[in-house]
Amino acid sequence: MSRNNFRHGFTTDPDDVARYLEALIEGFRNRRLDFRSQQRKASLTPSEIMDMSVETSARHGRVRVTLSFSWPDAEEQKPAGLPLGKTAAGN
Amino acid sequence: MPIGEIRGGFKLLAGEVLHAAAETRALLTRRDPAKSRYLYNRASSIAAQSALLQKQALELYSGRGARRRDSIFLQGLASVASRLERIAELFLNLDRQAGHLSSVDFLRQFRLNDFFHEIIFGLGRIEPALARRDVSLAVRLGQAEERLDGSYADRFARIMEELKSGGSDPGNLVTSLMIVHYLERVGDVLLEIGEKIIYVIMGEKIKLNQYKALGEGLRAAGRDFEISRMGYRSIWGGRSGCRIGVVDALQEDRPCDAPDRAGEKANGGDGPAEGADGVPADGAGGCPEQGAGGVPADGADGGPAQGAGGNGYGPAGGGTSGGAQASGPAAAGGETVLFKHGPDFKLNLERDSLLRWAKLRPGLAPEVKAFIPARKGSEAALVLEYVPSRNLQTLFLENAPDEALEGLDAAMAVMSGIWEETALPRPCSAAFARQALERFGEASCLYPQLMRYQGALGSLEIRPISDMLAELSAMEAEIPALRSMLIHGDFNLSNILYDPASRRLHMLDLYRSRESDYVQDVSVMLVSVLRLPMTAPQERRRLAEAAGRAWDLAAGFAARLGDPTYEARLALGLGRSCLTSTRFLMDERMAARVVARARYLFEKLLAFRGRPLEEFRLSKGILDIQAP
Repeated sequence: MSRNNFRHGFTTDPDDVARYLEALIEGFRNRRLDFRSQQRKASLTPSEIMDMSVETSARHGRVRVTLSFSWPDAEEQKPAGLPLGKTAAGN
Repeated sequence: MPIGEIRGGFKLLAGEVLHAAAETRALLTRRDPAKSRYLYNRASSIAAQSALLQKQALELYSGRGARRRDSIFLQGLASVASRLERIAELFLNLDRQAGHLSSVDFLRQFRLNDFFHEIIFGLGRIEPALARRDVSLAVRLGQAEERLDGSYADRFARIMEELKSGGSDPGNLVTSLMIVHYLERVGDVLLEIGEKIIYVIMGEKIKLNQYKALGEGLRAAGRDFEISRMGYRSIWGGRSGCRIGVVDALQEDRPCDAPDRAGEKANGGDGPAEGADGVPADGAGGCPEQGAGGVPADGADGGPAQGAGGNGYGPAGGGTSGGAQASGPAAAGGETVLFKHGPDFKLNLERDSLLRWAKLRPGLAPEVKAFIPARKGSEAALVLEYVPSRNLQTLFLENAPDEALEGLDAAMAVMSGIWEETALPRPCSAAFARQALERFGEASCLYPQLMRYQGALGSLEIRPISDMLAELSAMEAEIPALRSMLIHGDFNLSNILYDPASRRLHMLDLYRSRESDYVQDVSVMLVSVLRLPMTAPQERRRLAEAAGRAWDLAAGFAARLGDPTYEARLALGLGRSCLTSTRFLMDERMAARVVARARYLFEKLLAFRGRPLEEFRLSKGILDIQAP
């Protein structure tokens, strides 16, 4: 998985939102979320167990719905390679 | 160090350069290694003197309490000193080139005295022009440059002809060409010096040809041209390609130090104007003491600050007192006028439009006082009535929303009246997509990644905007406006002046006015409201409301007209204006939102392909752009 972060910003409407969500739904079904821009490309693999939150707020005259998914980053959790004859404690 | 000492040092420097000119002339007549060394030493000494003067002037004018007039004088003096040093370097180059000739006698045929006559004439006038603040002497430097150009063109033609005809001495001919070229470059530097001196005297950056056009324009407008009693203030930051200045009424006694004008807005309303060359204003009033043999006591920049910037130039920043427009038209010698100097075609168009608008709605556009068409080597000049009102952009930014809204309503009402009155049953197209494509490169300069963004979200492709524009261009051809009307052509907030007290409205910058689709005016106005750099949520809401009122007025007009494709064309126009407005947006996140609006509008239109565009509907919510 690429380590790059992505941020896409859109002006949109309910029909458009549905299209973007459908693209995400398709990605979750296939266990693979692809994102691409000119400079970056990332494929995320959702884990079997995920956290999901839906949050709504209204502030300064704007309503916000935040949908968030998270899961353990498999790449970051790989044990670091240690030199032969050494233990994690270093002795 | 007292300023008088710097003046003395400058006089010596100017004298040294004059000597160097005479020595160079002698060396191009007769080679003399000893004199060459002497010239070299003199040039080194000139460089050292110039560097010292620049350092001293810098220390003095950047010091605390430096008066504005003195600051400008010292800045100008430092610039002129560095240019005198360059002239001395050119003299050295001339001497070196002469060393490549088989004999300097070869140069006789090119009558270099013609050049040296002008150069020595010019050099001899620099110090008196500065000391006496004599613009006419500075103008003579420009004339010297013109004559040097003429001499160079003549010698260049002769040398090229000889080279083409296979002349027997190509080496000497090429060296001679270099020599006359260096002499011509001395003329260029003299011209720069002339302009610097005018800057010192007027307190404004102004080109020599612009200065001449100013005199001609004012005289044609029936005004006296007396620099010593006249205030001239450049308006910087405009994007029209014209140099613009406000010429104050002639006054019996000019104030000696005008307050700072930082914050004055440029025409186009999109950038803060600079004070004269960024020089800090002298807060202290009162005329400075007259140094011995130096600058007269009248102020460098004369005219009082503009209390309420007219002709769209916004208010004077900080302390607008200074007797804004104190004397006004009643002052001795005419009224305050606006002076424009620029490309002939633009000013011609503007003049024609202004005259047309004057017939259509007398008093709405500034009156044309004089027009001087361009002549060979010069640009056109336009002298206009100066309107002492603030523009709508300034009213919005100064937190005068009620007045701004009132002005916006009035502007929309006047414009829709003009559209209606001039409507002709002639289909036309504003060609928004093509306009956006043509300006895409320029518009992408500031935020290339935003503008050229493409990517994918899963299986959903995000297309580059430029691709969409190519398709939209074809689509747009299918939905012409059914009537053409006289449009403003650059109907944005900064081109509308409004005086809340008298409720008088003026419109500026009409050089793009033409018969076209009124949706161009509507979309430019809406986006000019939305792109204002106001970020507080309530401010953004207020802007959306203001734009919403203009939207409603325009929609009402379209409905009365029975315009079936209004909303589709408005989507194109808004998208186009959103794209081209990114150059005014300094906050990248705000720019991202504005570009996202354009993308959305274009995607919506393209998604409508194959369906009748008469059914295309646009939500007013598009106007609500919140700051990130």
